[in-house]
Order: sequence, then structure tokens, then C-alpha cells
Amino acid sequence: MSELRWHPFLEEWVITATHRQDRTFLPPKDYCPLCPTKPGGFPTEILQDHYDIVVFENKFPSLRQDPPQPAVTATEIAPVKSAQGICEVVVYTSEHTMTLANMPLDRIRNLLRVWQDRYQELGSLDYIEYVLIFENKGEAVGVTLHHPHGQIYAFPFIPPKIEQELQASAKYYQENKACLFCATVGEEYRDGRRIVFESERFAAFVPFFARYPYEVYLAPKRHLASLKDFSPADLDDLAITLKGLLIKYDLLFNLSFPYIMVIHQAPTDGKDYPDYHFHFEFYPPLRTATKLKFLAGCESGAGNFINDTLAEEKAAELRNIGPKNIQEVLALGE
Amino acid sequence: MSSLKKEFTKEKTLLPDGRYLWYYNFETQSKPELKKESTPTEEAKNV
Repeated sequence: MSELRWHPFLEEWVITATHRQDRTFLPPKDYCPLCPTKPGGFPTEILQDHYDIVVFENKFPSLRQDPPQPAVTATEIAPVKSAQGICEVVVYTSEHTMTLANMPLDRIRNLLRVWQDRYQELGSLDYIEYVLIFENKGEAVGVTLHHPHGQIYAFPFIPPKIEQELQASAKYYQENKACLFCATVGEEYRDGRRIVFESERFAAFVPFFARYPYEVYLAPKRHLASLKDFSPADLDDLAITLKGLLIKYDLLFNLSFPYIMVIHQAPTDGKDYPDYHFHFEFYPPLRTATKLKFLAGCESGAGNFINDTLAEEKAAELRNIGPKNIQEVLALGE
Repeated sequence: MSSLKKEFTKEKTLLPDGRYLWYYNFETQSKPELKKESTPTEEAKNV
């Protein structure tokens, strides 16, 4: 059963998806549903024995192309809609123990190309207003399958966090005739203390307003609204910057670093968003090697984050570990 | 890196329960070998 239920106080949709309670949960490696099916072996989702990248509809989707009618009747203050949309799984590689940080640069770049293709294909559907590409990595953020993969949610509406960013960007543009994110990246670049890694075209930084100790934004230095606008050279440079950042994360506590990685880009609702700026956001749950940052009373109850650390200090930690420039990433990545 | 890259091919298939699946393959990329597990830090320590 799945449906969209309206939250009248926050004025946003909540997705119910009760079938997801039964999804595969941390299976043994031999029963990984994202590995290629071996002859005579456990039948996985993927029947070919090798592939570069695979994308398929999630078996336990929150949103469906042909959703069932809501199981409850809407009222004036409790609107309900069917949960139409698409949920995809993106399998980065057939290698079960690989991680995005460990993938060679050309395969990271291939993944970017697939994300670009999915953004355009899903975004071209008339009922899809927003395409959210993300990866949950590590059990600390609730991962149920360890095989390297990410997800795509194609929404029939613009999600609330994106809507908030769009409004802030539009307001700044109206007042300053400039992009808010370009201004932010420029300020971070001029200040320098929070820059973690940079290439010719991209910068990764712990934002001034970081809510998580090791939160990082990764953004193009020039104004690009979505993956659709990326040139081949942009994809090359993004692959290097992404790998550089992820290697740093893994080195920080000498472990495969857990994170939530999301890509924010322009909606696909047919309108123009000249003032919106593509970027990645990383929310790592660790605040030390062994301690988690929880979203507790203030964060969950009031919506106000408390960060027990300073962005300038955490950025320095990340900047000073691992590759310092693109040459060092290239040396690792080919 | 760009000079080595070609466009990908994508092939659609349907799973037994009707869901779609896309295979993406990149022309210039050799098929990855199933190599021995390595930790990110082993790789990165060489910097």
C-alpha cells in the first residue's frame, strides 16, 4: 500500500509505502540481489553475467508509474493522492566489494553519464517534476544492501527542501541579479578556509552553515543548473573532484566512510530555473570515528540543527588528508 | 580522460514481474575484472 498524505502543518507530502517493510535486509554476499546471476546460482535482479552499469525499477518502490488508488478517503484537511512516480536503483558495478571512492576515474565518469541520461529520460515524462539522484552508503545511514549502488526518485512534485532552495535562489536573484549559489561558491573560494578540494571547474567545501561536522557541498564554479548542461570536460572534472573528496572521507577515520549523498539540480516541471545551481550535498552521520550525529530533539523537534564543530576546523581536517590536487587523484584513479 | 570516452549503449529488458531494467555499456571500457577486495585506505595511502 502506498499513497501521498498531506501534512497540513508543514504543507508537504508524506509518502506511505508499507510494502517496504518487507524489503531485503543485509543479505549474505552469496544472496546479494545486485550481483550478476551466476550459472546455477541464486537468481538475482541482474541476469547478464557482466555489465558496466545497470538501472532498474526498485522492487520495493515508494512511488510507482501506475500506483494504486489511496486506501483512505481524503478530507478537507487531510488530502490524499496516489503515489505516482518512479523509483530506480542504479548499480554502479558488478563488483560486490567496490565502492564509489575506489572506482577508477573512467568508471566514475561513466556513472555521471548514466545519471545525466536518467535525469533527462525521467525528467522528460510529463508527470515527473523532480528527479532526485542519491546514494546512501553504510549501515549507519540505514543501507540494506552493501553492493555499490545508488537510487533515483522521480517525484510528481518538487520536494520541500528543493522548493525552499528555489525560493531562496529566486529571492536572491531578484534582489541582486545574481545566483545565490555562485555567490556562495565565490565567497568560499575567496575565503579559502572551508575549501576541501578543488579542480579547475569544481569546488568541494564544508559550507559556512554546515549542519553536520563533515558536511560537504560540491559544486561547479560556473553556473550550471543541471546535469543536462554539463559538457564532457565538466564530467571529467567532476569525476576527479568527486573521487578526491571520497578518498579523503575514507582516509579521515581509516574506514569506508558512511554518507548520504544527494544531487540537487533544476526541477523538470517544464519551467526555467536560470537562478538555480547544480550541486552535491553530503551528510555524513559520523562526528568522530565512533560517534554518530543524531537528529535529536532540537533537529527533529524544531528543525534547527546544532553542530558541535566548526566548519573551518573540519574542512582543514579533510583538506590536509589524502590527495591535495587533481594530479594526485589522477595518479590514483586511472 | 575525455579522449578515451565514447558514447554508451543501453539495452532495455523486462524482469519477470514486469519491471524494466537498463544495461548501460561503455564502448571503450574493458569489462571489469572481479578483483580481490581492497580497502579505500590501502589505495589512498600511496598518495
